[in-house]
Amino acid sequence: MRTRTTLGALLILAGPLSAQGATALYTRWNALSGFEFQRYGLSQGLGIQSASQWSVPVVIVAPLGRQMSLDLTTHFAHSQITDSAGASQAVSGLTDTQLRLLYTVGRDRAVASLSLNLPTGKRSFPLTQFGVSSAIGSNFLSFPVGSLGTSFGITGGLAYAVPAGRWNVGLAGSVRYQGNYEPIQDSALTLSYNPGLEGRLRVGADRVIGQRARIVLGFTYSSFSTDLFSGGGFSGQYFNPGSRFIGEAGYGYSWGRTTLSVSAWDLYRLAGDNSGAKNPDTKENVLSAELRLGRQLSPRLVIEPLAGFRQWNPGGHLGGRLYTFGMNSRFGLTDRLSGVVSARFGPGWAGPVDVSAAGVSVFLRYQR
Amino acid sequence: MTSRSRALVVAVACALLAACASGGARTTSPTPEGLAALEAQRAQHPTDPDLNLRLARAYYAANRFADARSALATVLLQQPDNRVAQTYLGFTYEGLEQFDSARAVYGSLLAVRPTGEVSRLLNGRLALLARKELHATARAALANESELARTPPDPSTVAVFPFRYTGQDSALRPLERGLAALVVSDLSHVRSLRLVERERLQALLDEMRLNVTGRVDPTTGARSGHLVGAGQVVQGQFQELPSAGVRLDATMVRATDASVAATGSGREQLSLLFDLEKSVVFQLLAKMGVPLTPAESLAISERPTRDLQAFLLYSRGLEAQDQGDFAAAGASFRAAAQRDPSFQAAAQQAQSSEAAQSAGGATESDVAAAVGGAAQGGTPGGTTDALTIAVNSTVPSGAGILSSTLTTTELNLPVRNDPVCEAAGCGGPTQPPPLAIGTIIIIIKRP
Repeated sequence: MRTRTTLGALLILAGPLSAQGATALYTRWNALSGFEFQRYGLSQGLGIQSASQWSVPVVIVAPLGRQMSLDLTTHFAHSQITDSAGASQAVSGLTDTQLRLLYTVGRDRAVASLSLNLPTGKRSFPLTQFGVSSAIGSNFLSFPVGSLGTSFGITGGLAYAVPAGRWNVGLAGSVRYQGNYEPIQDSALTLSYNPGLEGRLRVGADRVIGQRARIVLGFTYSSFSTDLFSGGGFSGQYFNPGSRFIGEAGYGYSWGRTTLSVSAWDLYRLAGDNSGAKNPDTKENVLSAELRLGRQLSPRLVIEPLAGFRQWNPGGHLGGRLYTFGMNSRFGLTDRLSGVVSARFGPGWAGPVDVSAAGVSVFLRYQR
Repeated sequence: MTSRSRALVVAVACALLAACASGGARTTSPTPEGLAALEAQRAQHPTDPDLNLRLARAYYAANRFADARSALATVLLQQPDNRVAQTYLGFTYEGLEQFDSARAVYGSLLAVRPTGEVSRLLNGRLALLARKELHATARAALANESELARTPPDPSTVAVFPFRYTGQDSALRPLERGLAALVVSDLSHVRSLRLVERERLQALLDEMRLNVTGRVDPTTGARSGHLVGAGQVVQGQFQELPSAGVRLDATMVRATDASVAATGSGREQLSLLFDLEKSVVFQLLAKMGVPLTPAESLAISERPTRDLQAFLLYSRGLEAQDQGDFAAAGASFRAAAQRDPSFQAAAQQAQSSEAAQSAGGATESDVAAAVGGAAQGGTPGGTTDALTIAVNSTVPSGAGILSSTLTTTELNLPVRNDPVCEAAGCGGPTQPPPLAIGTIIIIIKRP
């Protein structure tokens, strides 16, 4: 986010820094919050006429000494779907809280991380609200908050980066454990869900091309062990999630006060199986691309028109496509306070129906 | 190393041949006409980063540091990652005597893991900066002496003067500084005492331009103690004796009234100089009534080296370093470290002096070009960005949205720490919301 680098420069200009010589990934205090709203309207045909969400993120990053940092992330979110008859179902509340400790080993080459998922969000819902969960968890719609709550979880990871010629190469891996919980709030049904472990491996690389351009590439592989269910007539049933692959690429080119950015990612998930039966519905591919043209209007104001494209190809259903047009405005209010205002809209389709997307967001960030 | 950075290193090496002995070699000052022309151009294009950078360099060369800082602010607001501008910002802060800020800028440039050559230049710049800062602090203390004289210094803070050599063998004179460094090192093991760095006191003495006698005069000692905030000052002298002996005397002076708090003295064979120095230190501490724990006693008894020749070379290095001759200092320290590989202080000083020598010989343009060239050569932000993206992709957090790079979060990639639809159902709006029990398992989101 360009606001960070602008602010970083301002901070350098502002005077002495307390974190001199620090090797932690995050060497300054940061606090970020704001408001984000996203809505999708659907024409007749799927039984839903809209899915929307507004959320307020809270992110705090605190350096701890020279080699460590601690960050905390949580949201307050309200998600809602309205069916074609006009009836609404909504889910709202605090989400889970992620507390992450990063420890830089050596001089900015390796980072060990430990992340805790604190179950501060609501995690059990009546069956009638699962439609909301389904909509907001969609990789295609990609709502900012994908769920409210789960259970206590812990993730450990290691990341390493090394220069390789003109490239910087990053390698990372993590393992996540999540405790079991009861996702259904129903007096007649007790279902316990015990998610399996998740392991992620990632390789990424970036480099400068010439004096004006930069490219970033990445590939992430995720593998999951078996999820187990018990209670409510589901005892002994399990789900084997398919592996997930994510490729991403970004390219930026600057000239004068203008920066052109092109970025894309593709998520591909293999089909999983339910208690031994292959479930083709679980297979999907989502391709997303975006083009942005940033222009600095004044030292503290950048506007950035953008155009995006997203294509969804699920295994067992018709897919969808979205076109997005919008504008970001990045601004600095003071040397320490900056913000981003974004507005997006666009048409598309999902299966047999037309989709219209709209979203606005305002983020403020304080750094010291 | 890329051909570009190789060329830059060669350029820096060439500049070293014309090394300026005491500090960074300066960029050639522009003519007033040249500066006026640049200012006129900037009036036409006030936010042009290239133009502002050229102007900033010209201002810097003309010692117009505040103007340089302002022009650099314009550059960095538009090009926050411009390493050349960042490097000049550090130089400019040095010119403004805002040393903490300069150190912070160099620290941030070092934090992105530049190449070895660039790292050495920046570390050298930091060493030069420390020296400048010590002298600036000393000048400021002298300027405010009357005020400082009214402030009682901390009685637990101790400053150690260089010992005065009163003999005839000039080869032993460097031990004046070596012995002071040794006493500082020994006393620093006593937890109840705080030591003034040897270099800091030396900078003050340089600024005071004391003659040799003044360095053992209690009144001078008391005055210096006030100026560096030390309640007690160690002064001493040594001389060779017949039959290869040496005598060492030391006095602990109270800065408040120039009275003598403790004395220590002894004579030994020169080969036992370290034993003699330890003996004097223990005498001083005993007479001052400073209780020592067994661990402190043991630590003081440790010898940084047992090789007298290595220690003499080290002392020569300190002398050259105090005179700003980093080439000679580096050579002496390196020779000391080679004679005694276990002499860690010598090895550390060798590294620091050699870096300072590199930076001292290079012009600001050389340093900035080397830093900027390294960034363009494939390490923009060093490995930090690669590392940040790697961490945020595998152990996600909201902190990822603070990133400045084309990260997965900025791409809105669904690898967040929130549930990813696992089993078929939560794929999106083409599926109706499941309401039947049988579909429950397809809408449970995997964390």
